[in-house]
Amino acid sequence: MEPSLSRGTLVRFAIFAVLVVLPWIAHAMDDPFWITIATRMLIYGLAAMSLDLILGYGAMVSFGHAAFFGLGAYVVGVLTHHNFYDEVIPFLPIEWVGSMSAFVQWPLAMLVSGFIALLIGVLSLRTQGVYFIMITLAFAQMLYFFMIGLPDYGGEDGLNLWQRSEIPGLDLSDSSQFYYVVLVLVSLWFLLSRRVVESRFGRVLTGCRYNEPRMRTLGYPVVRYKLLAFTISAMGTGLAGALMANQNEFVSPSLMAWSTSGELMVMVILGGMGTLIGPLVGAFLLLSFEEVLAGLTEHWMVILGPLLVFSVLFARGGLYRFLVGQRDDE
Amino acid sequence: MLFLEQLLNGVQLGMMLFLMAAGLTLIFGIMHLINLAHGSLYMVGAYFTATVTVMSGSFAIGLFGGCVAAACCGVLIELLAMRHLYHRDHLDQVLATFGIILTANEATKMIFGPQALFLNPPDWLSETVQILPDTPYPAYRLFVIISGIVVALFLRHLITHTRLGMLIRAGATHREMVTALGFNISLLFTVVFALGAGLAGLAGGLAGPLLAIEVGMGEQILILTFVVIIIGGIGSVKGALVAGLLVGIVDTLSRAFLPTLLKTMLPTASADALAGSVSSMAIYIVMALVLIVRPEGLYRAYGT
Amino acid sequence: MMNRALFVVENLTKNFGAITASNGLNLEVVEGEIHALIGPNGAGKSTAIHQLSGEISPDSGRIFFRGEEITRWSADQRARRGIARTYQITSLFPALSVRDNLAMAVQSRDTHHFRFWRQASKDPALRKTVDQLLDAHELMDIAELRVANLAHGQQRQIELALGLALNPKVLLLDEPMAGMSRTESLEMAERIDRLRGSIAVVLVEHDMDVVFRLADRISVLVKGEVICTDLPEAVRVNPFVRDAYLGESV
Repeated sequence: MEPSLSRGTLVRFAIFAVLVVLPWIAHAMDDPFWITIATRMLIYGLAAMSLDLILGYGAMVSFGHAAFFGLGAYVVGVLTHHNFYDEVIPFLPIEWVGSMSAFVQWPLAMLVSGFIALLIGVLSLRTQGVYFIMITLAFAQMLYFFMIGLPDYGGEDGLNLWQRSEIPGLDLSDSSQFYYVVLVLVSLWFLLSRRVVESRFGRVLTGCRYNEPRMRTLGYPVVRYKLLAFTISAMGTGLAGALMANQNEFVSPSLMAWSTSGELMVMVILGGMGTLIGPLVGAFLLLSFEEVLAGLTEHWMVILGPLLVFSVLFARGGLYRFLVGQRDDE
Repeated sequence: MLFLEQLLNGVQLGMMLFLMAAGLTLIFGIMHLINLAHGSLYMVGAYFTATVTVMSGSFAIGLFGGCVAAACCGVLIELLAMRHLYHRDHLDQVLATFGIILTANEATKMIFGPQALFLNPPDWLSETVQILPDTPYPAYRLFVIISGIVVALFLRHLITHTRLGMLIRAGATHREMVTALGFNISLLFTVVFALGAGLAGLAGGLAGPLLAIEVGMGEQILILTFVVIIIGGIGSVKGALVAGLLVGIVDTLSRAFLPTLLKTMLPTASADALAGSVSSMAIYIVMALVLIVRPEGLYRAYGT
Repeated sequence: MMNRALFVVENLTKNFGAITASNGLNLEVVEGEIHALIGPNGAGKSTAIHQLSGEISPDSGRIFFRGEEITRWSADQRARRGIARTYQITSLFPALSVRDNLAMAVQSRDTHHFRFWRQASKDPALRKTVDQLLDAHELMDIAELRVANLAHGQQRQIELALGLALNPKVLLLDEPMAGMSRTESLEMAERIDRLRGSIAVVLVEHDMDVVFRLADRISVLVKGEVICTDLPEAVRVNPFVRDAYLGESV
């Protein structure tokens, strides 16, 4: 295992190095649009990495993570909206006109996503397997319809934000600066997730993935562990949503659409489930695929769809495992 | 009698959901396969029904064409992809069928164009019927309800009284036994898949005169169908019928009456703001309640 | 030796559809004894074990453990209170190493504070305890191998080690010799023998030689009911037991 570990470190370092110098290259090539695309990829990568925490390590197939992505985005959207128009937020017990500070908006986005995940998790973790997939999908769809039904926040048309969150000393409307902020957050989330995965808590998740009934007779309150993992995962996805709201300066229910959940899962699988960094690679892979194919034909989905089926049927380990030369079940 | 009319609308939606859920739940129960592309088969049924109806001039022929087309697509999908997924975990099944949805949606757009199609009910069903004195109700919707009842009776007969039904029941619990007795289990799977696909096609065809026929219609109903299956219990056709009706009625009635009800309880402004959201959430709240009381659904079949 | 009751089972009943797996089952297991549960096929031995471990909840009846009623307790609660078990069909973590399998059990002994930060593989206390266990079970040589790659006999041995790693008050053994060769069975019997006096063992086993050699007491289960509990030599000559066994070909 030792040699492939160092190869893994090498690959991770290479990925990080490319990400760090990317804005310079984009500017040198006089094509700053690359930075925007790369930021999008990083944000989706963050969401996919969070999904991997439960999908890859806890074997919980959540088909509803788009809900947390959207919730995170809407927290930023609502706070910005009220702050911009100087209106009191109606459904709170205190009088508050929102805030533009990233230090308020982003943690709040994580908390709200985490809290809703806790509620959804309590219900859906009463079941397993196919039920869990369908229930998470159904609850996500419920939240999607909930946002569509709120005319005050744009309903189906969504909400324009006019400006990005504020961090003292930085200008997030500058695409390079925003890119680096996102990169720092993604890196921090990666380090944090890796610690979690390698901790005792992460071991328990791994154990549940391999043999949940045995974990129970070994004395683990399995549902509590899974619920916590589900919540942490939703918080990361909520943070990604908050960043997405900033990236687009626009939020809409389409962020919460079921197909977004599907795409996040595809990213995890393409990149390599249970590797954390793999989903990031998967996000880059899927989104660049979409960019390239969309350049070829407007009907690019008719190519992507079969490719996806094909990769599920025949290529299981994911790209990252291939890069670091690791076997599927390690 | 607005209430009666809405109630019947709910039953009609419930029957559509039953047609979808019955096929999907059988496929779950027997093959342990989660098939997201079931909604695509519904869409195929709708498009083919519309096309064949226009070509032949007969809705009945069109509906038959829609069913057959969906069943054929089902067999094709089963042979090409599903067959390789029965022994995979649910995650793989979700992803592969997600890929099939993307393909089916885009292919439909390429063949039929991006704009929605509209289909009128056939002449003999375009009138209204007096269900009670002074209460007219569209004949076509009644036709949908009756179709659902006929299918329910047909499925009951099929499962309890035929050789195929016996194999379906046996295949769900004792797969090895069925194989050991010399039955071709993979043929059984293909047949069940085609049956489910045909029912989805029928649902799509019946939906044609009620809804816009467009890409994406399949996923709308698919997620509702999931809610039905969660409430009804996996593998149970009876559960699919009861839960289908429940979801259909709750959804229709809450959309029709909840906004007015909210206005009597809340100030107008907040009632308007919340009405749309709350009424679309009703069925999910029912689902959550069922999960609290009976996590495995109302009816649980065949020990899956 | 004090004969303090550890497990008291009263009138346990469990139906699966039309099949009655437990039919008013009564049982008492005392501290430190090896208590065998025997009976013809389909007598409900495994179902009884499942109900003791909490994986199946009975339709009616009560289970007491050390004087406390635990009938409605979950499996994980019971495991934390000292009820460990092994499975007839080996139930391990095949993709993990022997060491990591044992660590999974050892980690469970500590209170379940959710520890997110410290790397589990570098936790010295955990490592030390696992090392001691590996030594005690003569598994040190294969500690770093993946369980999936081990022979059946070795896997059965780890199955036992995993149960014991919880430091239980009682160990429920569901056919520990299943699929083992003669020599392996003898070794396993010796290991179980060594547990006598330190913890209670409830043993379900088909090999009657082993049962009569190991057991302090034997309960005979027929059609979900205990028809007698007695010393091995008494059970051997009990006419009802003979009837029950002769009625069905074993």
